[in-house]
Order: sequence, then structure tokens, then C-alpha cells
Amino acid sequence: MKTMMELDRKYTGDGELHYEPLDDDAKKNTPERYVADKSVKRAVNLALFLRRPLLLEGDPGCGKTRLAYAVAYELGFPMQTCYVRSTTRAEDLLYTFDRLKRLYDIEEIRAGGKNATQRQDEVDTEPGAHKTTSDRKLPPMEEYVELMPLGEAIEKSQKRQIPSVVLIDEVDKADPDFPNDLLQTIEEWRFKIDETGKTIDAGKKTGPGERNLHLPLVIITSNQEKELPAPFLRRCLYHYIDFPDLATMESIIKKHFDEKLTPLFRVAVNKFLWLRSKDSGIKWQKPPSTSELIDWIKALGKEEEDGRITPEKLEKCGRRDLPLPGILVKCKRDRAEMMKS
Amino acid sequence: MKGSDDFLFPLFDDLRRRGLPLGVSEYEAAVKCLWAGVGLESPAHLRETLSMIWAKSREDRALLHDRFRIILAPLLYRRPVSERETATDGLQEEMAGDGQAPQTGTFGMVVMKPGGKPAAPEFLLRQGPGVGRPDLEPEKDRFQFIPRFPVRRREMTVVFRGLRLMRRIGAPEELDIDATIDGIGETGFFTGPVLRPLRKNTAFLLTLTDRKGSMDPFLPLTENLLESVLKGGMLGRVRTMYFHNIPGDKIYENPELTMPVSTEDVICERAPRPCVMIVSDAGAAKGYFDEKRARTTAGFIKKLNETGHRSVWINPVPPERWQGTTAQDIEKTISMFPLTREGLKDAVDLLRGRSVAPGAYESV
Repeated sequence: MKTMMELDRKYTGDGELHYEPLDDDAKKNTPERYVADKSVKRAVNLALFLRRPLLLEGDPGCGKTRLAYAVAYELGFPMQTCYVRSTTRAEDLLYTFDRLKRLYDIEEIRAGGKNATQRQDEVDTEPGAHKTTSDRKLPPMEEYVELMPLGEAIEKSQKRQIPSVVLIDEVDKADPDFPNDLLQTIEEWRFKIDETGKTIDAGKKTGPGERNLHLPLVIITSNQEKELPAPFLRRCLYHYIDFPDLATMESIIKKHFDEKLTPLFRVAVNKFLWLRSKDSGIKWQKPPSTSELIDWIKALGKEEEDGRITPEKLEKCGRRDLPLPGILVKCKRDRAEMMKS
Repeated sequence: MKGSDDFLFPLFDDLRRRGLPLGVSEYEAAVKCLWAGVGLESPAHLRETLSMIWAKSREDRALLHDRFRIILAPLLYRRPVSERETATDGLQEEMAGDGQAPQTGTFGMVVMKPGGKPAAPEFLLRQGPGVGRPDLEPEKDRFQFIPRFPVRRREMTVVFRGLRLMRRIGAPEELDIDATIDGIGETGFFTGPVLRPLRKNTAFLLTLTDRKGSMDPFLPLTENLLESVLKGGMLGRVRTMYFHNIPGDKIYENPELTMPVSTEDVICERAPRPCVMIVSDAGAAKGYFDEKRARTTAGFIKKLNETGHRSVWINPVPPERWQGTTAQDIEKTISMFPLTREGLKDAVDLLRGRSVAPGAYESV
């Protein structure tokens, strides 16, 4: 059981592990070379302090999802990821109950029983052992329950007082009612498994000075495709991840390529920022993002190794003769813009 | 000079009235941060902290910055040096995790009582002519052109959510428990799960928007309306078409009116059946009755009614200005609603098939 002091951790945003991982799952977190700018850092720490979910919006490729992994890694918290589909409902993030397997098991036992005409209502449906005339017993209901990421996080908080980082990715992909359904769970940190009647409750009534440091930190990302409902927005802290400036961009690249900020990389970063700016004369439909820059630099690094490009050559390139443009430009219209005279 | 934490309240109340989704717990969260010393390093930090708790979009953030500058910033000022030195004994550690010690020249601070328990924050509220100026960095955008619409986009998306026609269509994907159990009951055997298609909203909204000319002043309003429909995300299908003054034989796929399509083809679509929403001032912006326009529009509405689609007319001009104009005439042939929350709500009710009692709408 960890003390409150051990759980009171702060995010520094430099990509290094600063704390002891809280459990074995946390030890499995892969190192995330993520450099966060000051405002992102403050947002994460504010969310940690208030223990409210943090809603992140921003252009695609700016690192919303990766931030969650980076936070889990740096703080030594176990990581839980919920991928959201258009058909996801709030209960799906908490647990699943395998109804089909249970039906199959019931059938199997019935078919294998000595009395083949045994009626269905003789099969006891209460949790616990069941009486049938066959040798096999029907497993209890708990066997068919599987906890999903959010449910697991709440159970960890309740049983072992260990906070997790829960990522709910692309919440706007789901049905617009989904965030509101989720709201009650992330406010009260309690849910009930209807099939077994068990309640998992991590919420604690704390006094005004105390803090719920054992509760999970929920990070939610959105691509702004849909308007999210007001009660949900109220509950969340909000941060928009702006496109990084030159200094942050350089530290991101440095971190990503293990401090090797070669002259070629420097030229590439400057070229990239120029391309995105108005000076290049390109009106982007889908402006290239940070992740595309990283891919481009990786590829350029290989080209440099093979002797096909040098920093000087790259410096001289205009927008029409840029090497490997396919990595940065993803749609026909932008390609045409780049090539226009 | 003791301040108290409810100096935040005027800003909070102002933002709430301007449509930010805020409740009591959000105010409490902000106060909690202040008590713990979060956001007290400078007015900019305070503004950023409040932004994270109270603003839920970039537009909200811009609005908050603007109102902060007007309402809150004038109340804050830098403490004179001598007072600062005595007050910083036992300064509580930075909760924001910047890792930086508060520098001289920083604004405001939390005073700790000996023994480590935080006292109520002592903000120095200006009582008389200010001693100094808050050290906010100069605003990049001096002029804040933040649109404030009579109906907020969030309100509109809520209204359009009402336009639902839920049907089970598509491939069977979902387990149908009742049918499966029935199957077992009928045969005595469990032969496999029975699946059914997911429920989807099959509502199809066709919007016809009047563009250019007299509709130009309403451009931000109508764009806001169309965006809220598209981003509400609840409708099965949305198709936006444009016209100028009256839908003729051709209507256009783009707002610049350069991609024509036959009107007949569009409105005669049957599967699925569209709900039609026309957005136009119907001549009300011009202020007089134009017989030719009235006749041609009536002709179009007649054709539209023949298709049997449910249709409504949304007029951005306030209802009290419809009288004596072409709009008054058109109102007799099709249900016309103002571009307000009540108007839109009634329009959607009508599109759903509910009857709507003709009512007077409050002036905007």
C-alpha cells in the first residue's frame, strides 16, 4: 500500500522516468520520448491535482495520444487504453459479460447430463456452484465477467490504492450520447456489474484538505469532429495542443533522435516550418504535422547516410524540388499547390 | 489588506452568462486551485489555469482571455517589494510543477501560516489608485472579434439532435438476446446466436440555403447554423445545397453558386426521404413585397409539397419584420420559423412529424 506522499507525483514533461513504477504493469510501460511544452505540462499537473479528466484537442499528429503514454511512463503509473469505436457504449469500457459462452456452457452441460430431457429451469442461475446430474458443474457468473480498461483502473484504485492513467482515445468517434453516459462513472468512480451484483467503488469521501491521489487520471482526446455535450465538457479540464514553436520542435526532434541534432536535421526543421508558414505560398488543406516531420527526418537521415543529400543541398531546395515530399504531403490538392509555379 | 477568493466570481458569472458551460463545481475547482497556490505565479498563469478549468474550446478560451483582461486583470497588481519579502517566508511549494522558484517581480502569492497549514489566500485587491500594473504580456490580438450569436452552436446541436429516425438497418451485428432465447424456447436447442442490425439514425436533412445579396449580412449566422448541423453528428445524412433568392430549376452544391444541379433531381430523392430545411430571409431583408418573388417561391413550394417531404423555412430576419414583405406571403404556404432556439426547436419538432401550434416568437 503506497502512502499518499508516494502517490503525489508531478509531471515534468522531459521524457525521463522520475518515479518508481507503482506495479508490474507500470514497469512494462515503454519509454516515451515525448517533450511537452510548458502549457501541456501545467494542464497535466492541474488534472492530477484536481483529479478531473483532461480533454485534449489539437491538429492530427500533434501527439495527443502519445502524451497519455508519456505521462504514464514518467509518473510510473500503469497504463490503460480504451479505443473508442462508433458503436462503443460506456459499459463497454467497464466490463464485458460473455453471454454467448455462458449459453454454450449451459447447453453443453445439458447435453452431457444423464437426464437428457432436463428442463432449463432446473439449472440454477445464481452465482455459485450449480447442481446438474452431469459431472461437470456450471461455472459461477463471475467467470464470464471480464474487466475492461476503465473497470480495471477503478478496481486497482479501490483494491490496491494504485492510480492508473486511463486514455480514452478519439471520444468524438462514438455516439454523441457516449460522453454523457461515461460521465457518472468518472465522477463517482463506481460501477456495478449487473450480472453478478458486485459493485466496484473507488470513490472515497474525503474532507476538504485531503486529496484522492489513488484515483485514476483520465486523459481524453478528441479530433473535434463532433460537438461534445455540455455536462461532459463542464467536468473536464480542457487543453488545445498548439503546433509547437521552433524551440519546442527542436527539443522534440532532439529527444526523438537521441540528441543527434545534426546540421541536416536543423535545416529540415527550418524547411518544415517554412513550408507550413505563409511564406511558402502554399494554402494547405492538410498541413503536415509533427509526426510527419519526424518520419521525414528519419528518411532524410537515411538519404544522407547513402550520400544522396547534404545539408547544403537541402537548404537550396524550394518547394518544388523538395526531396521525399510524399512523406509530408498527403493529398492531391496540396501536392498541386506545392508544384504550382 | 485581506482579499478573499470570491474576487473570481464576477468573471465566473460573466462567462457563465455568455454561454460557457460552467457550474458551481467548476467555480469550486478554481477556488481550490487558488487555495493550493496553483496559478498564482503571475496574472498570465492565473489566466491559463482558469482557462483550463472554465474554457472548453479555443473560442471559449479567446472569450475568457478577453473578459479576464477587462474584469479581473484591473483588480490585480504587484505587491511592493518590502511586503513581498516578508510574505514569502514559508511559501508553499509550486503545485503547477514548473520546477521554478517564484522570481522577484512575480505577482501575488499564498501566505502560509507557521505550521504548514495554508491560510486563506491574500490577494491584494486594488483599493484606490493602483500601485502598479499587472504584468500581463501584451495581447497579440488587440481587437477581439469573437462572434456572439443569438443562438449558440452548442444549443443548436442539442436542438438538431431531436431530429431522429432510428431504424435497424445494415448488416446484423448486435446480439439479439430476446430472439436468441425465443429460439431456444421454440426448438429446445441452442443453435447459435441471433443477430440483428444496429440502430442507426436514418434522418436525412436536406438544407437549401439562400446566399449572396440580401443574405450576405446573415452569413455568419447561417454558417454557424450549417456547421452545428454537420458537427452535431447525429443525423444519418446531411446534404447542403445553395441558391440565390429563389430556388430555380438549378440549385448549387457550393456556396459560391458555381456547381449547378437540377433542382428536380435533388428534391425528388426518395430513399431515404429527406426532411427539408430552407434557410432564407424570403425577401424580408429587403423590407417590401416583391410580387414576382412571391409567385416564383410559391411555385417552388408547391412542387416541394407535392413530393410529400416535411419542410420548414428558417428565416434569420426577426419575425416582427416579416409583415408587409414577401416573407408574409410565403409564410402562408410553408411553416416559417425564426433563427432562434425556440424557432429551431419548433422547426425540428415539425420535421419529426409533430404538430406545432403557431405561436408568437419573442423578439431576439
